[in-house]
Amino acid sequence: MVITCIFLLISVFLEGIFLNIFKDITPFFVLAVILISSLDKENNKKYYILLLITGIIYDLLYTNALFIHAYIFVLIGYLLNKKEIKSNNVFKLVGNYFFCLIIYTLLMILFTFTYTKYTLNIIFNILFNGIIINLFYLLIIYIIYKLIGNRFKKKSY
Amino acid sequence: MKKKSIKNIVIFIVVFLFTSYISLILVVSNRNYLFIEKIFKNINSYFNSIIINNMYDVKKISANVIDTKTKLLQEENNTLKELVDLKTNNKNIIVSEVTNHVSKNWFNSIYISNGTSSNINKNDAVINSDGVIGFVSKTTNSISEVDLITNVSSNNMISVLIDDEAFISGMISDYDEKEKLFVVTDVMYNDMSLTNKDVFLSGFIKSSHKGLYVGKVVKEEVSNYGLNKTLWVKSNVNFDDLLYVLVIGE
Repeated sequence: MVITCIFLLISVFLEGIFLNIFKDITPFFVLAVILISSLDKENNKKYYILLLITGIIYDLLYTNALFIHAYIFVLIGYLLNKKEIKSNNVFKLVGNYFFCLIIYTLLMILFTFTYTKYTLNIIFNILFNGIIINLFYLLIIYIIYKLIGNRFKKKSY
Repeated sequence: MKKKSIKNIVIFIVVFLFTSYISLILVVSNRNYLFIEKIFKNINSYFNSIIINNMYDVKKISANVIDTKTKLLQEENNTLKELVDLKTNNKNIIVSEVTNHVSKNWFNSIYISNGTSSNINKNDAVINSDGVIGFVSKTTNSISEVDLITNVSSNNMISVLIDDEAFISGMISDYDEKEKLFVVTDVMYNDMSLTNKDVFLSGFIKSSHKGLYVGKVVKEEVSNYGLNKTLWVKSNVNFDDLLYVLVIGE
């Protein structure tokens, strides 16, 4: 749980820094950490509280609306914790990551469509402009978690 | 089992509606930042500012050059105006750096690294060398939020003047994301072709906005059974790459 907490915080800050360097790319680093941390079997109330706090911090730092990301992160965490979705397989992980991206984008559009205009072009750019970097980040997080998991064996993330 | 899933769906919908309502109020309302928001946004702005300054060292120097040059030109302009007995221009022009792009995709706004301590106020226009970028919507002591002009809609139209000689007025009512053109409606029809004419802010809302360059007319069409014209205006601003901006205060 501590490792997840650290990675979530790093990812939140990294998203902000990253967008200042590569302005055309939309990073989804927090989603990558949520996805990988959802593989832990011992996820419980604390995990959801952690996602809730991460979402609130994200909104406090970057947006104007306080609870949007809190809601989305908790919902995605909940969906990923379903037994039918959980998988350690790398290809399934990538599939799940796309599932997260789509859910996130759809919810963001639903939350913000009243004051933000969207076209298919914009949505496409948000989703796919930074796909390589996002997948690379997912892979790095996956490897780090695996390494930590092996070292501490049965200890929870 | 089925009961439980129905209960979950109901909870999901209720929380969704509640969150939408709260977030809508927080975004749309004309509010000030909460105390905790100020703290977090200032921290973020501070760190991003350090990163940007270290990354774009050359651009920082160029920003300083622009700042000095702006002040020099302003002083020169005022001297010349005094010579011909015109009122002097005491506009407060601040060079500021963009410190947050994250909310650009979803909220069409950016954050800049100056606030009320630099005399930035709500509704101040924000420009760069290519034209108008947006207007300050919220401000704290050291950061400000800028709503991008691309978020214009029929609910928040912007008044403009076409052609600095003829002073034809119109309203920017939409932004075509695909073509990257502003749509100017309610332009009084006359026979004169307006293509290639420059478009400026009219300054009806705030006098300091008057004369700020928006873009050039690239297309025109007669609308409303010949009563009006609709114009399409091309802005040179690259809204995807904003690093340093100028805030035009009173």
